[in-house]
Amino acid sequence: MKKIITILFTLLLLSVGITRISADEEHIFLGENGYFLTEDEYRELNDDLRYIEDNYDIGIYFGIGIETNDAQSYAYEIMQRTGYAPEKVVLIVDDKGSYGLVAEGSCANLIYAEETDLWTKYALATTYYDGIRDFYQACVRIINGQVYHTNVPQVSNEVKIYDAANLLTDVQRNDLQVRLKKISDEQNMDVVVVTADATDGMWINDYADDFYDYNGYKDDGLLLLLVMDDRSWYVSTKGKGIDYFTDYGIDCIVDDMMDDLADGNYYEAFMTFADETESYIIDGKNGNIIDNNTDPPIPTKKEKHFGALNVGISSFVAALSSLFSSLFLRGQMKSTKRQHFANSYLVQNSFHLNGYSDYLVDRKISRHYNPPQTNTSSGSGGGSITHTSSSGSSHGGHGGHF
Amino acid sequence: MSELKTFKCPNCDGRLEFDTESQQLKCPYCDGKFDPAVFDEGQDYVVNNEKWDDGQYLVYSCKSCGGTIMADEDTAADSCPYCGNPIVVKGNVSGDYKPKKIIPFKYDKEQAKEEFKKHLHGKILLPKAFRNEATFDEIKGIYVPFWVFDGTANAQMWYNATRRHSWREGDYDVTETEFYKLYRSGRVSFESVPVNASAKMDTTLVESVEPFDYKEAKDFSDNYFAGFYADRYSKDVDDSRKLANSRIINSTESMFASTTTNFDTCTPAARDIRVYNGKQEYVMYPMWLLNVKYKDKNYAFAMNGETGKFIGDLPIDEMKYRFIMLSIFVIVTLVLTVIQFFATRG
Repeated sequence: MKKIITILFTLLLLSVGITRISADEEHIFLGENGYFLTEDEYRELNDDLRYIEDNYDIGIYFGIGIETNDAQSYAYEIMQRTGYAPEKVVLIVDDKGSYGLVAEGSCANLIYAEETDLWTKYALATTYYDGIRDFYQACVRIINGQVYHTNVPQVSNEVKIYDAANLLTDVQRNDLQVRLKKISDEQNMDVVVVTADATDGMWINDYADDFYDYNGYKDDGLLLLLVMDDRSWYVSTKGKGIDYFTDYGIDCIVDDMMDDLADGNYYEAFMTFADETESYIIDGKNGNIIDNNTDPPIPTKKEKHFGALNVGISSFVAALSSLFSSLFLRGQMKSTKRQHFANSYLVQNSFHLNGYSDYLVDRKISRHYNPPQTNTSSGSGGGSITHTSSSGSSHGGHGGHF
Repeated sequence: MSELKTFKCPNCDGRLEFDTESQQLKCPYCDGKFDPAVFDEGQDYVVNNEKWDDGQYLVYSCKSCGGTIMADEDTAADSCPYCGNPIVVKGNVSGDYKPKKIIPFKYDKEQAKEEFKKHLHGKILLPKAFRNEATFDEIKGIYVPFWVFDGTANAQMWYNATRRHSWREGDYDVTETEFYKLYRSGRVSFESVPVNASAKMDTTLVESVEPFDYKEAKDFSDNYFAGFYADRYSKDVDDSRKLANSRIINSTESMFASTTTNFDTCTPAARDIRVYNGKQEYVMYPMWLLNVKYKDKNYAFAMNGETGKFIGDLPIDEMKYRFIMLSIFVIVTLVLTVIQFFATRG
């Protein structure tokens, strides 16, 4: 049954000119003509949607840039002919930018009630990738329970280690709290470690983002979350944290902790995390950001960053300073000027307008084709990929298993 | 034939001078004060032997000390170079040459010297030697002749203007440009626009100390001249009116342009501005003047005797200038480089 539906959807998409169907895909959630997403983005999103269908029984289908005059009926058609999950949502966006949204299942009414918000999430995102992601994440949230963000524990923002999974001794917890508090205060960025037995049905990245957002931590910082039931980790970054901790940088830090984590030496792993985080922040403030196209910092290499360019910048700024000083100092010396206006001799209130008309004589309309930029940098894996959390703030982050 | 007027104290025969603080004629010896508007005593009209000297100067003999006073034909007020007695050449302030109004000096010589010192203060590029060259005592109070004109401008203005809106339609940026023709008409009045009437005075210098407030002007009396210099007008009134009207037209244009601001672009297309002149008067306005010779170049300074506004271009010590610019460049470069050096080392 599943196969047949898949083939039907595939054929349907092919029939309207959607060409992006990779051979190894066994189930397509996302139809587009290769224009809106990069290969990597497309695969990532499709995998994610498949994961949602497999684990949550929610089928969410997208058709972007479809050539149709009636996106709504088109969405109905897709709805009837594809998918097997009890909860289904289909979003069709036509080539003119209108959309059709159809939902089926016990939560259909909830989806329809949030229709405008959902569409806004898609439409206002900066890239198609973000838009699609925000849309289906919001759908999952609605269908999986609206009280989503309250699932995270409420703690004071002074708490830098929240050890719900009880991995540390009291002494270790205290040591770590002191260490993390010191970094947080000195660097003016919150560094938080959280452990949990489970995420209560939330996705690990949402749990980490929400823990950070809803407990009043600073606008800049990062949070390490360990979830014990599936032995997964996630680092959520915010504000400057997004800049200083790229996805690659986070991988480097966690790599160094991996042995300790695997062996159950959580205290040592967390201390490594604290040490490396601190040096990443200091490096980040100095402009040395660890990314996959920059090598990890070696002390001797740092001096190489100083060079002719720095002297060039200095002399450029100095030349500007000289120029402005010159204009100011020379300007001081001149005070005579011919007067070409008589404004000082204006008779008060003598200005009377008795004729005043603005005629519209012509109107021209010009159109320029200017498609939105797709996020291509994420394909190469550099930098930090950001997303928007349930509280509306922007986060970066990265996770995995240990 | 010409007459000289001197100012003698009716009480003690002392020499009267105009006192800026009390705005009265004051006798420095007996402290007697007299209202210049009505002062009519102690006048001493003397018919002098008048002769041309090289055809350029008129020569008078001083009534007080008998010394020879040479003045050019435009001189209206002067002082005897020997005894310092103020004199007025009656022929240059009467008849056609009689000014209608005069703004008396409000700032005296001491205040003018003070303002000059302030003017030099804080000017880093001023050559040191210039301060020494400048002899403040030579600052002279001069009544400068002006033509003043009232004018009402009747204007019709046409502009081409555009307004632009942009929005997005699907993958398209859409821009709509609306083209307008604007029409404005109206009038605006200016009063007592002054024009330098002395050929001897540098017009740039005179205009730089503007504005003068005509409302402060008194009916003319030559008594205000006591202690100051003055020239009669030597520029044609019709040429002067053209200059005043061109300033009125420029201001009118800018005022009408200020009514067209809610457009993205607006350029004047055509204009019809007619200035109707009303009052036209010959007046005397007060200025303090000082000329300083420095390195064979003359530097002129002027202060508005009514408002105290002090102006005058100053010489620049080019060596000092280059040194300062170079120092700033070198120091800023060094400091920034050192900062960046340590910043990159962490």
